[in-house]
Amino acid sequence: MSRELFREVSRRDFLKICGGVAAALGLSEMSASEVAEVLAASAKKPPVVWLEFGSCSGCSTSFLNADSPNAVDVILNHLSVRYIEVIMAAQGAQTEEVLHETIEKEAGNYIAVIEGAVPTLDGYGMIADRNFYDVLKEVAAKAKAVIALGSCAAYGGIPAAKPNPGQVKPVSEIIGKEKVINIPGCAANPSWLISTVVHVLMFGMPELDSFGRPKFIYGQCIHDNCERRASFDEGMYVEKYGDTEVGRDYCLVKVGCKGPNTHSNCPQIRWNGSKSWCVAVGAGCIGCVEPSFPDAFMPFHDRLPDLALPGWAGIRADADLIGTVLGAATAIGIGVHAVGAAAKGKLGKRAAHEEQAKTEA
Amino acid sequence: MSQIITVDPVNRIEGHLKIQVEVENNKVVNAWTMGTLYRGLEQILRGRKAEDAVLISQRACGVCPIPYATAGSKAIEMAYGIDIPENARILRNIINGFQFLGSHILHFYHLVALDYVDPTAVAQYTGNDPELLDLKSLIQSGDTAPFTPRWDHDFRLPTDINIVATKHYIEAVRMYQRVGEAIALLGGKFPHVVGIVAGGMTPKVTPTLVTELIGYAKELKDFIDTKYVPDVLAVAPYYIDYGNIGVGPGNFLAYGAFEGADRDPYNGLLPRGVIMDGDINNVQEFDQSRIVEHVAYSYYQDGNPRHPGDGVTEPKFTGVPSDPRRGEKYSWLKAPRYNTKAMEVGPLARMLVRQDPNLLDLAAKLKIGPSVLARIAARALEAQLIANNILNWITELKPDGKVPCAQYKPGSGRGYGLDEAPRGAIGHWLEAEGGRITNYQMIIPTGWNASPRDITGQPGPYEIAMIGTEIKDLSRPIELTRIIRSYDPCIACAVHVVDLEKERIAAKFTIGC
Ligand code: SF4
Ligand code: SF4
Repeated sequence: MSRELFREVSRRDFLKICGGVAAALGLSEMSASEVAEVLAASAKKPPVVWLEFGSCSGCSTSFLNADSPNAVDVILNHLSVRYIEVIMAAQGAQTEEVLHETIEKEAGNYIAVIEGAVPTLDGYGMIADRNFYDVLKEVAAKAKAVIALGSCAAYGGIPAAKPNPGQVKPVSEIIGKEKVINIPGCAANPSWLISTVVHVLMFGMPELDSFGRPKFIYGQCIHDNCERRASFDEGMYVEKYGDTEVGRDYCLVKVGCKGPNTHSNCPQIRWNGSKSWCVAVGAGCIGCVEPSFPDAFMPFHDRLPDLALPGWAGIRADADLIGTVLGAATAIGIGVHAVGAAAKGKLGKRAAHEEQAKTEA
Repeated sequence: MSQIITVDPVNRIEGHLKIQVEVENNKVVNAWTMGTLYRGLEQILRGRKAEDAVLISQRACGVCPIPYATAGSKAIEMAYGIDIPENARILRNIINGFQFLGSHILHFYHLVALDYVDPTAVAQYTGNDPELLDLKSLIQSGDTAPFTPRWDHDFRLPTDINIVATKHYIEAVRMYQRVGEAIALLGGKFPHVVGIVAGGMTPKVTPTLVTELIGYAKELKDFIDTKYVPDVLAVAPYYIDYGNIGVGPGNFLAYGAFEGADRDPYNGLLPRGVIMDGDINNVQEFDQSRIVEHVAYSYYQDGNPRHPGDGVTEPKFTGVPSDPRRGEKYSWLKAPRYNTKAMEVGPLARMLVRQDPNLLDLAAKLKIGPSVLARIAARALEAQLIANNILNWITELKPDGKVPCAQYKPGSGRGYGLDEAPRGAIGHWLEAEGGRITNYQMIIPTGWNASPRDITGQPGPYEIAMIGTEIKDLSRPIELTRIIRSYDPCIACAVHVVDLEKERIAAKFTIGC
């Protein structure tokens, strides 16, 4: 039995697996068989340590919902997951031994996946009587790369919402940005995690945006790829949940969709076996991958107040442009889009009229 | 001579938990369960729009977010006087039903099975199943993380059962994905959904949706009928001593779930009710005003026990006790009590309150009490019951192509939402003024089960269940972790449920349902 990254599988399986990964990476120019070859060339199953801090376990749950490849496949065949609290067989002190053994034996070699924010108050989060932040420092020091998985680990997320009761911090504020790749999301889509790991193993560090997120995942605005964009441009909106006539899937911006402020490939790769995503069920995006989630995106069902910034950016402003202003002036993104669209004469009459009424008021 | 034994962390659960027991002659004479993480979601909710609670409170638990969303929505609907459409009621039953199936399957195969089933038996497999052959070669190559190391001194199953159960472990992950897909059709994605909103649900009810849901329901029902339930029944006889290990306080509480068209929580598929003092055939009415929460042994400023609608709490971490016998505070969890008693919640409580004939028959046949085995069996039988009914609920839907959501005006009011999560009773209490939250409180399942001592020194259900247990090997107390896991702990949720509202407006809820 080989100990390759992707152990010997049938060619059919291999192509299936790699097809999924290649699609997630957007590697249309690279054939599945080429991906397979690169992966097979790796020396052994790379070791992974997965730690859960101030989280809801949702990113672990999400990983178990991976479909191409699925979680058991990943764990048995592609990665050597040494420490993962939610499924590992080891118990009590034994788990600590596994952790320390991995850190020592695989120094410089292992990928650390961190789920959850890190409480900075003494005693507010502990494993084996040690504060999370000490465990994190120890694990990160010898890791090859650290993946801050989910919005809590990446940016503080839910527990960091005002007033941040546990005084939690994101991973990168505890250990520095160097080795950290942020994969935000609440929860993070399993494809984001798996395709990033594959990227690290195959091509090295992915290119990151200024929030530490891989650009191949978070490089585009949801609004620009949304299936309901045509209605947005036509000014056809769902005014309230439950107001739609049969069969009308209008734009959800007025019931609070934050797609214009949010950057990820959700519209393209969708969720749970590509069965659905937030806009497809008629609810709208709540901005769960953004650094200022959730504070800047609440009330979730209200349209964010427009800040008129005529001439600022354009309707295709990318994450770096919009994101830099999110913290201070959280509503700008949507304003930019609306204004940009209106300026280009794309916004429907009704909406343009309302825009004006609002500005006047 | 007595000694203290610690298991920290207790893994294969959701969240962070530590247990300590005092042992004399290999027998547990005292026990403590300690929640070791704090988040504080309710404080975050204060001042937000009430509707935001539906999305934020779900994020207490990434394993079972759906009942948080439904309990939160119900609280708002009561406060604002909203009547949800029938299709929305049915869709909520369906989405929470799928949530139960996924959570129960995950619990048995991926959280508890490794305590009973030995997957390394697959080394002796001689058949042609490609996945088992893959696993076999991994075992032979010695690369079996994360399934080893482990406590391996008490595996009792014959090789063939080990192999079949391991095969189903792998298949169960696929079933879990199917559950995620079904939930995503209604909620947008899983975990954490956007499709459940105050007033109803957001997906349109179309014939396409109905058809797809039927497909998922059938596939899951088939797995439960032909694999999950038979596996539980196959494993049980080899661990029959666990039919009397881990017996809890004998008090059971169920808020009830899956209401029918009459919307009567006493009349749903899983009815509301209370059982006290081990009198398991005597199901009583539930009275909400009898709930109080204690903080005597929890990391909060001391205060009198209070009803959740009137809770005042302030975190006060006083350190990890060097010896739990010293009577210091030891957990981030508070201690809810009903009628002064520690209550068990979860599948066993629900199936007993339901007086479910299948469970009662099985318990009689196997001669088991309200124990580790009873909990695992109740969970499997409950999954089967729900899987059967999801198909009925789907056929009740009217595929009119509309979004089943009532229109309403946000305002002021008080309300509560009581529902069931896979792990047990979940309650949200809300007070809103001008559409904004002035008080939000949750008591969630593991808050009941994993509670520490109360002001009278009465231990919580886990603690009671551990006391009296014989431990064979003190360095590997697998009896204790089997007991704890039989409850399906969700500690992350439990410790999120904390309010820090020193100066909040005192809110009194009118109690009684
Ligand atoms: S606002 Fe939302 S629903 Fe409307 S087009 Fe943009 S992303 Fe789609
Ligand atoms: S659509 Fe928006 S809210 Fe939904 S998962 Fe993607 S980023 Fe998060």
